[in-house]
Amino acid sequence: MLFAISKDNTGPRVDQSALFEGLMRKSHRQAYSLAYRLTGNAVEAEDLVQESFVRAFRFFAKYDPSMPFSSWLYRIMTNAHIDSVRRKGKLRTMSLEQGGTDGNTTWEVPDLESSPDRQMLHESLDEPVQKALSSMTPEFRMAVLLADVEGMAYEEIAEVMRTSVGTVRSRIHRGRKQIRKHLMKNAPQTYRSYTDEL
Amino acid sequence: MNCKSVQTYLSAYLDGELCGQESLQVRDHLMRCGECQSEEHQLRTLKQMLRGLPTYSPNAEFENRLVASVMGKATGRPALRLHLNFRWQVATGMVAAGILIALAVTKLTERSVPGANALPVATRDSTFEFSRDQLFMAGNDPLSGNRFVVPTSYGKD
Repeated sequence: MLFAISKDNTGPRVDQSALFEGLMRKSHRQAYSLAYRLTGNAVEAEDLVQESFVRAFRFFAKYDPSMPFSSWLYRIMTNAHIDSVRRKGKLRTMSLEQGGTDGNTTWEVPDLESSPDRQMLHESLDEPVQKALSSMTPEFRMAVLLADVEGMAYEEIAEVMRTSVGTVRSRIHRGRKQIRKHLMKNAPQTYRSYTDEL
Repeated sequence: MNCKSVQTYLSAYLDGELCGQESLQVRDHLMRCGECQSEEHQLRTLKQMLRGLPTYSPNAEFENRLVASVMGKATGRPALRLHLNFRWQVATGMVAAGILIALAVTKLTERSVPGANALPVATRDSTFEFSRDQLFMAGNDPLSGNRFVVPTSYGKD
């Protein structure tokens, strides 16, 4: 058959719109946090979240509920982020003025049991770590963030990134080493203070 | 396992992602090798640091803005789509490209006679007369592909 004109069956039905909206409201904060780490600033994080949800909604009829919605969304976000980075043709680095103090973003420190000193160290390391993340390729950045910030298992990350577990293992290991090298070069005192405290 | 292979496994070891045999081999090596122990300690520290980084939250109004934007874009999509298989997509593309090339070639080889059908009433202005002569010559050129055009005002003076 040459072609078929059909009603667009890739889009969600009306009852699925409400379901999607519920999922979006529930997951958008976590998605934003990951997007912020991926992009390094609030404006691009919002754009990335929006683009990811638009794509997700478009293909919601193809979503397999056996996969966690967040994993499926992160898969879409991975592609959207890589597309965005390649479109720009360069990796952005975060400016010193950006970060939690830009007025558009608030901080949430999840480790309530940590000491105030440790919290301060984390906050002082946040900016150099973000810079290190921004200097990496999007594939390495995503792998490290999914493992260390989202706490996902390698198999899950492989599914999100549509690659093998071996590739994920390599990306995480090399990515972490890149971050360490960056910190030792650009924020040696803060990094040493942190490692000495442990 | 030697130091090099152990060190490539260290992140996976720390994440509990090695199988039992590999994990035991790495642990056995670490007990005997100070250099790899130090590397393992550094990577463990880095992992803890990354885990403890603060998370970011969007503005309070972002949620509603996001929902409105995503749902708004989704409802603005076309209701019908033309589905072509790959071979027909290629064929359609080639036909479209052919038409475009033919149009471009026609356009390039065409020597137009601008304003030939809408010549203004002749004036004594020398610029106009000069251009009128050029039009006339272009119209007489058998290679131009244009119709023979004689300005109606010609010869009235």
